[in-house]
Amino acid sequence: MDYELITAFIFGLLMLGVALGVIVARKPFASALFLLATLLLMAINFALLSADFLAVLQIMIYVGAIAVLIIFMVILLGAGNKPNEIASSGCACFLNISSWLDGFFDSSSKLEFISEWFQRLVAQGLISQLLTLAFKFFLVLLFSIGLSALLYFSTDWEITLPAVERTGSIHELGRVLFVKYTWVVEFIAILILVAIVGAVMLAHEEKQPLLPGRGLKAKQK
Amino acid sequence: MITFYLIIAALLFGIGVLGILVRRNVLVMLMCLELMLNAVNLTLVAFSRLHANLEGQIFVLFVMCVAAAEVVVGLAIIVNLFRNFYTVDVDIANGLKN
Repeated sequence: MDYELITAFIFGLLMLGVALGVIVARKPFASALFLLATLLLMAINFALLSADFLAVLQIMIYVGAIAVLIIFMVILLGAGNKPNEIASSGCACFLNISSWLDGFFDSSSKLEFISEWFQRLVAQGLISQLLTLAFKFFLVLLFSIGLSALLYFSTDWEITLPAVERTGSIHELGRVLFVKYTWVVEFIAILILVAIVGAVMLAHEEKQPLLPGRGLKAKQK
Repeated sequence: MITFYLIIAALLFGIGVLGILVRRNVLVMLMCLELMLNAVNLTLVAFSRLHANLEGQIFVLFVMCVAAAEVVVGLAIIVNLFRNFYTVDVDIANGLKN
């Protein structure tokens, strides 16, 4: 049994499921927690790919800083307790369909309802529009599936791993980073400095100067 | 194993794109952006393992730095958005649309 492959399967599929949770969860706070779990599982996957230092760095930067920052923002903006966010999202079309189905099953005479609905559709010329839309959608679907199949079958997926001893060791990584990519490190430092200044500039709330004679009332406005 | 990880990374990137297209909350969209960056990181690490070349991991380091900077600036922009519109819904903040 190839234990390496089994472990990779378990953690990779788990990560995919948790990542689906990020976009499926209704509350942003739940999304943030799912994101945190995804990042942790990604660190495990890095370790499985023998990138030890990157796994540690993933936990330190992503889980320790970025995920915590996002969770903090979710709490600060109070976006978690807004129940109708899903109604204005892309899932709204599904909700509309379900409400339409409710009206369909509630109506007393279903045949009349259907005929009236059909006549209205024909009168507005919606049927042909719907048909052309469905045709276009079918074409796009066919094209994308064909392209994926072409790419999948035309690629030689069989890969043989060379015998590598601990490629992720921090010594070799540091040697490559600070010898070959010294200038990139400097540019990254400048980028982070600019990001700090930009974030401070953006988040800074300029104080309104106190109007003379108005006092506290002008300040409250 | 490398093949499996490449497929996983592609699917993860797809999930991120889907989230950005479907969700209308700016914070969730930012999280989906993180998902996409992480998918690319996974691809880079997998190829670095395949070719026994450390430069892929170096690139992952740089991507992490850029992601950190991007999240900080993005969250500052979201704070500004929330101050002006009192919402984080991108359908409401459409001042540049028309």
